[in-house]
Amino acid sequence: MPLQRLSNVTAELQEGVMKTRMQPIGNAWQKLPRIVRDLCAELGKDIELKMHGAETELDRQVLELVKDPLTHLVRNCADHGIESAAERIAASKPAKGTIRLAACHQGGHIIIEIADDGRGLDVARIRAKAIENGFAGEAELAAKSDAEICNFIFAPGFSTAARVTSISGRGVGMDVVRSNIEQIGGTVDLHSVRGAGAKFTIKIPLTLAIVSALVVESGGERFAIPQLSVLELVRASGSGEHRIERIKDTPVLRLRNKLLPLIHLKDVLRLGESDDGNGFIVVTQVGSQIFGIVVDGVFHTEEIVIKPMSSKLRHIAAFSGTTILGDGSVIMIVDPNGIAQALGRAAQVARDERPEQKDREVMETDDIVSLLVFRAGSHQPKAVPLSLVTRLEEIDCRKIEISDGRHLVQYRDQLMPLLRIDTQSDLKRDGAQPILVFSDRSRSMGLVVDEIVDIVEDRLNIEVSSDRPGVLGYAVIKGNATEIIDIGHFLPQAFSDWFRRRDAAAEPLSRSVLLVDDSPFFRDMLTPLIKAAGCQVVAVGSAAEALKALKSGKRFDLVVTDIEMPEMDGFDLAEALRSMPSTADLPVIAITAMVSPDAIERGRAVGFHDFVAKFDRAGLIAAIQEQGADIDRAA
Amino acid sequence: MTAMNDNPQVTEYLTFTTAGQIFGLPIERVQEVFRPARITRVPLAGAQIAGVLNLRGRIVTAIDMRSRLDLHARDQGIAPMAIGIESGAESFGLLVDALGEVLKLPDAEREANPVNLDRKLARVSAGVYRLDGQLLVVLDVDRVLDLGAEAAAGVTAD
Repeated sequence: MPLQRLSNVTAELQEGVMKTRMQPIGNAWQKLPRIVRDLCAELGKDIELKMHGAETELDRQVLELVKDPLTHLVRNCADHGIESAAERIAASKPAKGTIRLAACHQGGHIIIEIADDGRGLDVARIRAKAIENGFAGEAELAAKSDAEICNFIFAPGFSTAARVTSISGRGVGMDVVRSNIEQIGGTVDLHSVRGAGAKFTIKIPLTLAIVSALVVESGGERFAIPQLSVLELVRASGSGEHRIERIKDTPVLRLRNKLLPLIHLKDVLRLGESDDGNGFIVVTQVGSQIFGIVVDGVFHTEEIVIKPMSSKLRHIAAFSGTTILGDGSVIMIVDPNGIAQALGRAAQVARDERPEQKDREVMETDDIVSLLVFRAGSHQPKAVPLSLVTRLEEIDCRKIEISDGRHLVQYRDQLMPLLRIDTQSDLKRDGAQPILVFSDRSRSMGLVVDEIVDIVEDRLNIEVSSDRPGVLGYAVIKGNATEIIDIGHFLPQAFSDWFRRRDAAAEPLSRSVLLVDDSPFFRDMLTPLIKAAGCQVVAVGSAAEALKALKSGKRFDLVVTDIEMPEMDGFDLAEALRSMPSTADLPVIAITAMVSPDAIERGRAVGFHDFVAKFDRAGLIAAIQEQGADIDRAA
Repeated sequence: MTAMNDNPQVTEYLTFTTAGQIFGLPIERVQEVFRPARITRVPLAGAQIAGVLNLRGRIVTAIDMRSRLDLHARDQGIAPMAIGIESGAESFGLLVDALGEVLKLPDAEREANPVNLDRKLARVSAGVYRLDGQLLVVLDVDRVLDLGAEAAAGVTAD
């Protein structure tokens, strides 16, 4: 079997070559402690060099290229950055200065940081020097930020050192540092705080390095996914344990009791129709975000040498480079960061591709919203849109009063009711109790929580609607399935005049609703509610804005409007809609706090299709569904 | 614009045809000519990028000249020949329908672009020669490679 042996030999050979090519960055750092020690003696300073991540491996070629820039930066820190012991003590810093060197792999890059706790860059002196040496005019500099001015130190021939020493200050160096690093496709960032030190961050893409990659197939083409970000592989099949499910248009996978958002590589790369039947799911992690990339097939893993992306293709976020496989063919390397970006857009793309909706343009409402994530009752995180929350407060538990079985607290000269999400749990007896305060006009209520976890910026895509009262649905926020709390459920509990009805099961629809309400509170409260019922929502703050939205050519299936609004009220809006031919048949549902026979009579006259009390969420959903059914019948 | 060779009056051009039109490239910018094989198409790239290929271990970005010059050929297969060009540290291959001969043409005879020349062509053309029976459009290599916004326009939503 000579061929078999040859293949074994070449495999061993390749492995050996790879091993020798990858070296720990510590090899480039070996001489630095000595350099710093010598500098200390020469400059009469006391400096400690701390090194972290010396074991981080990188390509030998890259290592050679960053060695000199690194040495230069460390010398610079010691010479310019760290002050003399006397100066340091005067600035109430420890007499001993510190230079910190750190390296790590991060998202397909090698990050090297060189930081000192010295005096930081002198922006004023750099500015003066820039003018003196004719790098920029005074007016030009005035428009620049401090960070931009600091970047002048990378310009060729620029030095602010008052005197030239044997160590640095000759005006060559920083420009060479930058050009050396840029030569290998890297970047240098500088962050300086006057008096506290400077930090250089060198980011080298793995473009020269060798990585292990998973070779996958999608739409008949092969791609490489860097193994670094791959957590596991899951085989998906229509009948097996792991089945791709869709919540509306969003593909998801139930993986060990968690909801994993999925994205088809075919969709991201527009390689044709994706189908959920069979395939492999590459579970990928980018930062704290975990998601699955659905591919048609998985071949094998291969050590690949990443070749930089052609300058003509660098704008494509989905790819980070190209590589030549063992068989000589060129394939693209998928950038998991770019896929993660696409993930947020995927739902929209999927909707746009549905033929029956091609003719209409639905306004994008999946904008990023700030969500307040907290825990209350159970361990599962809960969230509300931050814009709904008026304040976060901590109240003294001893101030909580009980009246008629309800918890109350004095808050800003009023008695504010306190509500619990989980009515089983008791309130804390002593110490501070965190609460979320919700206010609308003069009324406030406090929602008792155990802990405020975080504020995150995310798309509010409610993926599963819930039949549990008080929970609108579930959304994946930062990789965790999170309950989206329906504040509308708790408001009526707080005040007797905010009544509540039995929840109606929300039936998924795909209609677009224009919501008109002058109160931002209700806009925020009703938007997720209507969304949870499966509609697209565009919320506007006045009748004038509503007319503008309707005239802009966007199509809406339904208008939900408040009646009491300044300037132009709901009745006027309905009349205006009836008078325009394009909107004459548009169903209008009125929401109002005052349901009087007179108002209903007037509403019928101007053409309201339905009247719903403002806090009757179930009624509103039912009305929307009823109108929706009419639309479907008419269509 | 076109770099000179030893004789300042004459420039050598490699001629090629794409969609029936004859073009010339200053020969000193041409690295080699080759038959493109196994082009990997790049999803999301603009139509002007035919894909990437492996040429003796180098990755070459193949530019579809029909699309780049906005000429619509009758047959839509991959063009059979490529002209290899180096720019910066990168290699490019211009995919063309057929290669012609190398012509030595006096600089003085080169005429400016006709004012009514197709805008897309005018942007990459450095002038026109009147040959016997046909017109040769001289291409400026750097401008041909400067896909700029046009390449990015191939990708929406990014």
